[in-house]
Amino acid sequence: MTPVREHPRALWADACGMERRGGDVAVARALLAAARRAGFDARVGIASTCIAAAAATRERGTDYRVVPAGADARYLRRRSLALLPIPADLRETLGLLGVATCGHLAELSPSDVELRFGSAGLAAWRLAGAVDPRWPFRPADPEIPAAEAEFEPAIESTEPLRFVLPGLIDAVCRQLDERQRIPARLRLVLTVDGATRTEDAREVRPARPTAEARVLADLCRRAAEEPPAGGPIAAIRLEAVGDAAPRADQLDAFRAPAPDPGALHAALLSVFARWGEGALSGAVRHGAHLPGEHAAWDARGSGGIAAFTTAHPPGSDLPVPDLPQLGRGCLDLCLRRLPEPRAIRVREGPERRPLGVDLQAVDGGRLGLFAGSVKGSFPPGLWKTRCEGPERISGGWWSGGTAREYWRVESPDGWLGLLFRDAASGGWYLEGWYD
Amino acid sequence: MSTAAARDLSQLRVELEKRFGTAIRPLPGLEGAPERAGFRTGVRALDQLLPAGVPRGAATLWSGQGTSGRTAAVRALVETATRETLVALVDATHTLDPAAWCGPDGHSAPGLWVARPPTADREMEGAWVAEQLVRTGAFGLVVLDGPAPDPTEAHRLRALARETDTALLVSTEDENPGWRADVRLEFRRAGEGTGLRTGGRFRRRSGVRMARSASARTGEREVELVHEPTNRLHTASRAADRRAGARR
Repeated sequence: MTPVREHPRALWADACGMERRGGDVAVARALLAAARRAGFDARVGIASTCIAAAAATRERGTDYRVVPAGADARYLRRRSLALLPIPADLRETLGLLGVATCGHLAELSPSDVELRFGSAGLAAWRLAGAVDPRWPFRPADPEIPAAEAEFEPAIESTEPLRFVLPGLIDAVCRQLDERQRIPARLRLVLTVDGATRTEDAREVRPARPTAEARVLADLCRRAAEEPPAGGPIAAIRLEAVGDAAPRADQLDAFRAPAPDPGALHAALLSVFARWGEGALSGAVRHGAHLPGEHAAWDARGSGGIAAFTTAHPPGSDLPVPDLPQLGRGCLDLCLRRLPEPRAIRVREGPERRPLGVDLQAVDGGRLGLFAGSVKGSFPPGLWKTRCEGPERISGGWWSGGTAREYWRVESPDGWLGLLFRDAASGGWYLEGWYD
Repeated sequence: MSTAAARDLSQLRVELEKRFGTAIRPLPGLEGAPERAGFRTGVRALDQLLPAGVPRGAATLWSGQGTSGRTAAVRALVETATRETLVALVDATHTLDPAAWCGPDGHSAPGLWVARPPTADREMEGAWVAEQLVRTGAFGLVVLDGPAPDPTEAHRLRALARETDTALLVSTEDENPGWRADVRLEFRRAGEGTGLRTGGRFRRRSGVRMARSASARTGEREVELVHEPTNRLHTASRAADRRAGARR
């Protein structure tokens, strides 16, 4: 059973196999008895469509009415238009034109009704004829909700798709809405009219199942940006290959609500488009030996947004103290690693200890990488360094092998860097520095 | 009203003001609801300079050279802030080592969003990405680590931070970015002698200087920078230490 949206005091009940309970009339009497036991005055209407059942509950003079199967349209013929859930202005207009009953409206030509009153009029015409698409608990349609559009002639660029996509998304969402579902995963299929007709399928997956048209339109537009190879586009088809039940989040008066993943994804679409999956990353420790391998930045992409927003920290569980609480007095330095180790010149002493390091060649325009922004990190002409080490690390024989000797070096004014000597080549490289 | 009930009502009012800010009307005769507190770093010297923390709705600039403790201070701030809010960190220079940002469980804090460019040569896009993150209003703290934005970008960032009540922190090596921040800290290497000790340990002073602003005290503090190699460049291995003793 489920409440009726249009009538606050009505309930839909979807059932079959009522002959096992003694037939429709017996079921209607049983429902009446149950309602009275609960303290309610009720009326019961049983029919094959929702509109006829709703009209049956309005019939005066009886507590229940059973409309025989297949007789819904005949039953509605004499019923007033007030029974139909149509806009009030449409009802008033029809009344002024002398259309007072469902039968009067059903006798009109559907094309004339649609021409004169638009889609709302056509929907009213269908209801008047007992053609009601509503279904409280319809079993899942095995067919995938889809919508498509064809282009005649075929289009070369993807620009026209921007104007077609909103309509396709709306059609798919309406089909899912009838099943009380929302899109979780969409598939965009472009029919390419080349030497032979082929299909280019692209997946669209929002961070969280959503029916928000703007989010879906942005995602579909990005998915359709790249023109397919092989020829012009003859048709486009949008399919909902995954769906989910709509849900709402319970809010808390004392805790700020977590940001909506769909809205956050839509707001940061341009960032993901420019920086790719790395636009959302997290650190993960792997435990390998080399500094560049014992941890990594795991690029999670837009798929990580939902998990990120549900990790919202408890704001009210750890209240910020009013009085200043002074913490510890020292800072643990962090390593900053170059994207790739850079070759440097080192003056070696006994036992191949680095006595002097020349980083001027690293801080140069030829690298391009450090132009302007990082040059303060490398004191030029860094000779006479103090060093500590070596820390010898080797391994990875299965992928060529690595053997390095790491040293920490300090400049006279306190800059602390991390170097290594490659055992195979004997060359020195700058891994990074501490800050 | 009993004392306990009055105390409960006061506590309720404090909680509502923290959550809804100025939407809660103040009691007659009292001042308006106080502004939301900023984010502390948990480091004594920095919290003395910023008793109200890194302020929300304002742009803060931290500048400093290598091995001045600036990145370590950012990490301390982010670690504290992720307990209260969602934090976004833009690693525009592509140089932050992920091991320093892992917690005891081997992952970064769940409420920390790190944005990294696909390649290191796109660091100049960091300011634009930071702007998009601030604009969402979903983050309590947004940190831009990389080149300082130009004055136009900085003005836009500050306006967005004010509008969304986001604490914006720009951490850069550029000591003269060409624009004025609401709060500015300058980190510099200080102390005499050498910091590198036997076994790769490092301990040295760093000076942190505060620029004049209305929300923070002026002055300078010193903070101690430490680095303990823990016998490995990472902390997960159980293999024996094979390093020879360090000699001068």
